[in-house]
Amino acid sequence: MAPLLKVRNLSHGFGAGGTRLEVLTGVDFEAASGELVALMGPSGCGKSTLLNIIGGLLAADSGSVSANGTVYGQQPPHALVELRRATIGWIFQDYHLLPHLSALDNVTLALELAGAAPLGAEQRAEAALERVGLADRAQHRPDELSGGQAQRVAIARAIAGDRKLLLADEPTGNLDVATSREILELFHELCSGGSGLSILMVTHDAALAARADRMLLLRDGHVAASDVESAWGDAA
Amino acid sequence: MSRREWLARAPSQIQAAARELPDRTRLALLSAWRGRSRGLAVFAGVFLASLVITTVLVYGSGLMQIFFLKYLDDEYYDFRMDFHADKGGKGRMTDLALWESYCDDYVGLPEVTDCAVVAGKQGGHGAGWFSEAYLKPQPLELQAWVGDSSDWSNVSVLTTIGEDGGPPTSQYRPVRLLGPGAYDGVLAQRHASRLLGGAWPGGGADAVAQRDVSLPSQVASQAGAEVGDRLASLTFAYDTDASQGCEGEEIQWQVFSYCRVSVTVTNLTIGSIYDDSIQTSPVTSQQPVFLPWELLPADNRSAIIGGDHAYLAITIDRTALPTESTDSAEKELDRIQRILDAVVLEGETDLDGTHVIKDLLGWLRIQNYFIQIFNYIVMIPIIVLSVSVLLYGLLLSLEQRRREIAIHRVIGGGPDALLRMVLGELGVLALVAWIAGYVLALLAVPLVLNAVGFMQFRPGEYDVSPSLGLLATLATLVVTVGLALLFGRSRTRDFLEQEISEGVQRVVVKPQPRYWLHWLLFGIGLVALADSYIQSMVSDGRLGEDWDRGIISNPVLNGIFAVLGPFLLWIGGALVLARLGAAAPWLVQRLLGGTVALRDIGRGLRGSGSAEGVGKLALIMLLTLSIVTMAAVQGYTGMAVDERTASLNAGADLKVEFQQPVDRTTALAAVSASLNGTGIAANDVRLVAVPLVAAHPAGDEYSVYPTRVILDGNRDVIRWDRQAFGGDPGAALDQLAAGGFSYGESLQFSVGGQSQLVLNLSGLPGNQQATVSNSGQHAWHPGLETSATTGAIFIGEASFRALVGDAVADNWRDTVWFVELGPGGDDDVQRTIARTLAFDASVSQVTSWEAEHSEVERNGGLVFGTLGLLTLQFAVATIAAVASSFVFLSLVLTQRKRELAILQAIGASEWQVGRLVLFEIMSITVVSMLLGTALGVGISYAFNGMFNLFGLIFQSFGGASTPVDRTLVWPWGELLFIGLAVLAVVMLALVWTTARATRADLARILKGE
Repeated sequence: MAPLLKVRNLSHGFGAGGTRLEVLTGVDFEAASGELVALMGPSGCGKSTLLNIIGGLLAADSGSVSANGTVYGQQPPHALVELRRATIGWIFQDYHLLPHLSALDNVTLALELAGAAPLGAEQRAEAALERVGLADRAQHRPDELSGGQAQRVAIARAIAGDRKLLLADEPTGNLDVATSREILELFHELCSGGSGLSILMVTHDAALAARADRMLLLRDGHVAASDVESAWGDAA
Repeated sequence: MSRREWLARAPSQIQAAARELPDRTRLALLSAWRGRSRGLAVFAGVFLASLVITTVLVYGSGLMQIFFLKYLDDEYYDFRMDFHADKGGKGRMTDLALWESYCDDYVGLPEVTDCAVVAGKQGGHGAGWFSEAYLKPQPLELQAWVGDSSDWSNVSVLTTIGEDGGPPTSQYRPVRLLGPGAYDGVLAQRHASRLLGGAWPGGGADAVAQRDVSLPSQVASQAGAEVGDRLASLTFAYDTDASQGCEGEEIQWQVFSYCRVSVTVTNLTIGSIYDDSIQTSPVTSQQPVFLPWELLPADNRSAIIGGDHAYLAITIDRTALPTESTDSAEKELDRIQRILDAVVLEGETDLDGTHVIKDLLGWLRIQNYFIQIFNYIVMIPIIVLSVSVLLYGLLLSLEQRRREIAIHRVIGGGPDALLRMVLGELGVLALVAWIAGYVLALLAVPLVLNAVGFMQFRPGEYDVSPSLGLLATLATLVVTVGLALLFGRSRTRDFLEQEISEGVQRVVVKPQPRYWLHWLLFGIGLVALADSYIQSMVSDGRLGEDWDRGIISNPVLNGIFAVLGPFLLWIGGALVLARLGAAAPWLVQRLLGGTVALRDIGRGLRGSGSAEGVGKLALIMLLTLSIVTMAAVQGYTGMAVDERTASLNAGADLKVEFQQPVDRTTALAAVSASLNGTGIAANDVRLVAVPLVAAHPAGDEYSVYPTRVILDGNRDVIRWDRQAFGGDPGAALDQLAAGGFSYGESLQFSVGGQSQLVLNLSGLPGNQQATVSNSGQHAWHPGLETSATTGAIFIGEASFRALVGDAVADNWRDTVWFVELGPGGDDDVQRTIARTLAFDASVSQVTSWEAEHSEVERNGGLVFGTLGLLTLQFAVATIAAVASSFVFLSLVLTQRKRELAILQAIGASEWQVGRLVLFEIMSITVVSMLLGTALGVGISYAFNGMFNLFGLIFQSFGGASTPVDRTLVWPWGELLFIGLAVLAVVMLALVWTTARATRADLARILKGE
């Protein structure tokens, strides 16, 4: 089966001249459909930069990304709107929900922005909230939800559009251990639900990473290991 | 730390602070520059507040300077040297030779440019204004004159000048005797500058040799006299102390006893005619007939000196007077006065110096205080607006630093250092903004002082350079920069007292505002508005007299509501309606949510109005647009009042008053003769009189009504106004022409209830009758005294002909003829014809509409300078609307760039984000602008009562009253234009700020960096 995500020789740097810093220096990896991949690495190694390029929020200097058949990498964010609408969903550490909208509206708005009809969008949003276990909190605003619930709303927003790839940037960074585990359980459920959904998750939590299907270790601007054993072995 | 320790450490601490000052200033400058986008709101607020407050203060100073220069310009003399003591007192004398030599002592002073012996004044030793004792000594009163080349028997020696206001003055035309010094040098120049015809004698000897007399133009016109004509004799009277023996008539008046002596001067030649429309100090006697002092025998001159009629008129170099304020000019005049007082005169004569305009200055000050109080009140909304922009700008700007301060605290920043950091940046921004506002105000005030109408300017005759004193300057600094720093300090302290975690949070739950208070203010304002509106309906006749006290009958409560109501309505209304404005996106989403325009983004508009910045934007839009509306409405209303007042006074292009009643042909001939060079053909000219006859109802010869006739050609000549008949004047005139009559207010009870009158002419034989039907009440007839029309009835030409017959009607003779000059009769043409007609011997007075209008405009139809301030208010509010929409939008979108980034991350295109922002901001802007305009309509009504009140006060100052009502004028076209301009700017700002927000580094924004 063809991999859902293929990253080839991806490079990106910040700054110019003497102060230029090459963060990614030729990243290569793949992720299969239905796979939960944890992305680890020391601070500043380029995990979030890699995620932003894959998610279409940042243009790479060179290299390419292929997600569910769409090839891109060096295009600016405004050229990749369709990718973010149809293929890639985002989950952030700070949840990034719109504070003046209810949970249901947060999810529905994402669908409507992608072109769904309002009525159908609302039904799909309700289904997504139910899938993350928050059907009873649909009318609550973000400031009326706990951190874990808010993150579930963000997850519902990301999966509601039947997107194939979720990018999670430290999704449990603001959550306690128990809630973090619950979120990871949810990720497993989503990936194994038969929809072919894959999740690429940046985390600093080794325990969480260990519970992913696979772990990538990013170091010195490239993927230093692509499975748990070699990563830990190499790190050791 | 003990006091001693503190004192011991103080010097080193001061040294350290001084050492650190340059570094701190540099850091503050750097910080202000880096934070310039958030500082824009602070800058705009302080700038507006500084501009407005400084303008109001400087405007007051400029106004006083104009008054001062105007009156200074009107006066021939700068100082008057009088006897120090009252009659019989020490230091007085009658030695003619000595008196005439005193000028030599004064012109030797470097401050003095000219000096002359002058006689003829009143009230030299006044007991104060409004006192009868002020009348002593009397002026040299004209008693008789005999013409040589023309008949002077009907030329009155009485004058009506000075009846309207000011202290009581003699009704006799005064004579002023001028010594040789007045016929050369500065005094000769000042006299010559006011001549309409002839020439001022080339010296004292010339004046005596020519037996020169200079006449006021009104006298020359009445006498039909021209330059070169001769007066056979002129008799006037002077008063002396009766206790010293009386050669004339001894008069006992109240507690005074004096001797009145008549003196006749013969064989005089009219050497010049001067412009007597310029009012001078009543103290030096008004619009006199000027004669050479030396024409009088020495005995008379000595007696006149003894009778305290004489004084020394002194001039100084007026260009050397400081003009920055009246206070400094008055100080300089006081200084010169002290120098004049210190001159030791031969014969131990004790003379007191008085600067001629000193008495007027006191009067002007009182008037100016009232004007300024009114002007300050008028400017309160714009001051509140500018302070609101400042406070809300600070609020939004400092909110952006909440997180930054919390982070600084995490890394160990102490409260003092953080406070210094915020206040340093704020101080630099506020100071620069204050300076900019202050300088602009100083530059703008001369322009505002030149305003003769709303948004209309005419270069002033006076070159004023108003400025602010140090204390007032510091006051503006404290109110603006001080307020910014105080607010910044309190806000920063709040941040410092917050839990760090709360500070770091991106979304803060704010306590609910006191909505009940907003509603309470709005409610009280609405009651005041209803009260004011009901009273205006009563005055318009739309409601019965039962409602004349409005809904608040208690006079004290009514007064409080009248003064505070407009402000409560404005502030309360803005706060309440701002919530409605902020909810506009919800409304738009409700209305257009299902349409193509909003289907994909409509949900994003839900609840967006609850954001703090959006609410502030709505509030500022409401405040600014309501002021723009109010200023425009009141400004245009003020101009309409000016035009109505000019029409009321002049009636038509020209109002020509003849010496004797003349028929239409004669009047037309006189006017036609003055058309040369104006481009107006005699055929273009239309004339009409408003005949006055006495009529009584048939069978009731004792009820005689003055009856004015509105001839058929009347409407083509007279500038009728809606207020004249309380409605469409065309319809009212039609009714009169069809046999109707209208009645003045004072006839309401006698004829108001009668549907028909059968009129007979009073005092004339015959039995001709006219039956007229009641067509309602009239308020006035343009060009006629209102007092004469409130007790009169108006009838049409047909009824008039029925009463007097065609022969009388066709050959009607009248003293007053109104003239319409046709389309070419513009300002210059009217003035030229009026000037030429004034020299026609048969014409006693000419009033041109344009000259009257200019006069009303210059003096303010209602309150001097109000239109200038309304113009300023309009301009500042418009600039504030444009600037604050730009600044607040920028701030709102800066605050929301994270939200816009989230939208993009979840799949929104730039177009969708742009549309979302566009609908949100535009809906808030449009709804807030509409609500602001509606609120402006309300406060225009509410403020109208206050304008009327102050108008009455100022009219009573001027000694005149006007029946012109301030019926509001609604300049919808201009308001629409302003609205569209603001919307265009908002659109531009939106496109620019949204483009910036959507092209920003999404990854970085989402990461919170």
